[in-house]
Amino acid sequence: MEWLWEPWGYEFFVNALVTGWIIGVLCPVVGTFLVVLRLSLLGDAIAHAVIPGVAIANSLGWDLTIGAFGAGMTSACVASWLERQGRVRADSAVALSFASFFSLGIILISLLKTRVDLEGLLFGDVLSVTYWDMGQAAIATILILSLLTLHYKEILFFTFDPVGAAAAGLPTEVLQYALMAAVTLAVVTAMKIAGTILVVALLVGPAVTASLWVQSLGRTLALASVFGVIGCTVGIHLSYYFDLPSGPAISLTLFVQFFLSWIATTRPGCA
Amino acid sequence: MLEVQNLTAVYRDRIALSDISITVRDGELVGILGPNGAGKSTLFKGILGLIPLQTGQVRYGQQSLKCQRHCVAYVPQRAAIDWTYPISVEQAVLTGRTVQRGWWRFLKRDDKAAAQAAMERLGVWQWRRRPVGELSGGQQQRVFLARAIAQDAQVFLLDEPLTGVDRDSEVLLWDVVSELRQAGKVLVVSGHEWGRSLDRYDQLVLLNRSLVAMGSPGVVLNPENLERTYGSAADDRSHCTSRRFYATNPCC
Repeated sequence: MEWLWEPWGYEFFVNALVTGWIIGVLCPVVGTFLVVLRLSLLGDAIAHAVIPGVAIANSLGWDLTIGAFGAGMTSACVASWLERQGRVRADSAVALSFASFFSLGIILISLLKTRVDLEGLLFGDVLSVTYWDMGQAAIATILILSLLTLHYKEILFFTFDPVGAAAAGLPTEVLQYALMAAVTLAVVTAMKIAGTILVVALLVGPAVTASLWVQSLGRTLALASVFGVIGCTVGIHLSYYFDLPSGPAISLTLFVQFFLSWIATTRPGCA
Repeated sequence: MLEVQNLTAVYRDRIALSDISITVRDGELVGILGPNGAGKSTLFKGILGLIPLQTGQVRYGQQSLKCQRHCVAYVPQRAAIDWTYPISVEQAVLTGRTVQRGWWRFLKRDDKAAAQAAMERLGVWQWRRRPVGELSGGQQQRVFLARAIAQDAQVFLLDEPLTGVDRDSEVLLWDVVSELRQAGKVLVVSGHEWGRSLDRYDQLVLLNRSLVAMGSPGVVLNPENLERTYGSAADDRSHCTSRRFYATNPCC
């Protein structure tokens, strides 16, 4: 059994695992709202759109998360503005805006000759997680969970019945942008471990799996967090033992959870 | 008193409603009738300030309604709700207490008591722990009316509340609407229903992107107005609105 405890002797592994536990709570909580609002692809799109911010921040010597957050929010606002003009469909506006940002990011990485590890950024790398990243993840998670607890009733109303919430006087546009900011923050926090391409699995996978077991928002949030933490723990261990990129290892673990849950919750004759 | 004055709304570069003026006194029940696409839901959204108005204003009492949204309970069309959303009946009704309680406060015992009283009145208390998506159409409308009552509003805007509703729920919904009317609330209800139920309204508004007619059912429901509202399809409906037809056609 010594092999089981061996990675705990390495600082990078402990950093990655503890950060994994933190994002294992943060991403599924934020992702649950994307799932109930049928906006799962928005998480994927924002994740792709952070790349130009990473490239610019890297070339200017800033913290990458600042650039990534700025680019993610800018692209989300562009998509939201295009949608509100009413001349194109929402899904088309999102697809076009985020594909453009992703392309811009790849071109900037090449033009600015930045020293960004593109493969690590896209697919995750446990070796890149620092003590500072762990602290940032903890602060982001505490912030988002505190706001969620404080405004749970407003968020529940807005996500269940957006028109009814606006009619009652809730600032639904503010809530919409707050949700996008929370998604962007979760993506930026998780990108080093899960990778920008696969962070959507951590946003959406645990929430979808939890929704197979429970039918209330509060329980979905709690159970999705449990699945997220288990997924990150198993995925990061697989990444260490088999020298895999951490993003795909976590993604596949989350899919196995979903698949087993699907079988366990399928009643005979109701498949 | 709810006053809608010269409301003109543009939706996606097209005029969706033109120059609508309606007055609803406290304790009055007003029905909005018109074909699909006549602008009934747009009128509600215009009244609520959810779409930009080209002209017009909406006042309740001495102030703009936009500044008093906490006084308004809106029951959306069933099609506007995602019924797969993981929410119980009790939580759905409690959303009506959100604005009343305030932005920085948690729901308290009296919010739960208000929600319980509303659920009991609408006969959905026994299903309070069930996901709202598992209920029938009529039961779901009862949940939304319970939410509106829990909100303790003064103005009730009900968008097609009787669509897809079973007979028992329809009777209960009308009973509750009557109670709200007696309590002096402002009630505006849109719908497709025809026949005797139209006599329940104090006033009817016939709408087809502009105001065709407004007044008591006996005055408004004549072949000419129905023709202007519904076009040639109005003939069938004018039969249904005649009192002689009621006597021989109970299904109408």
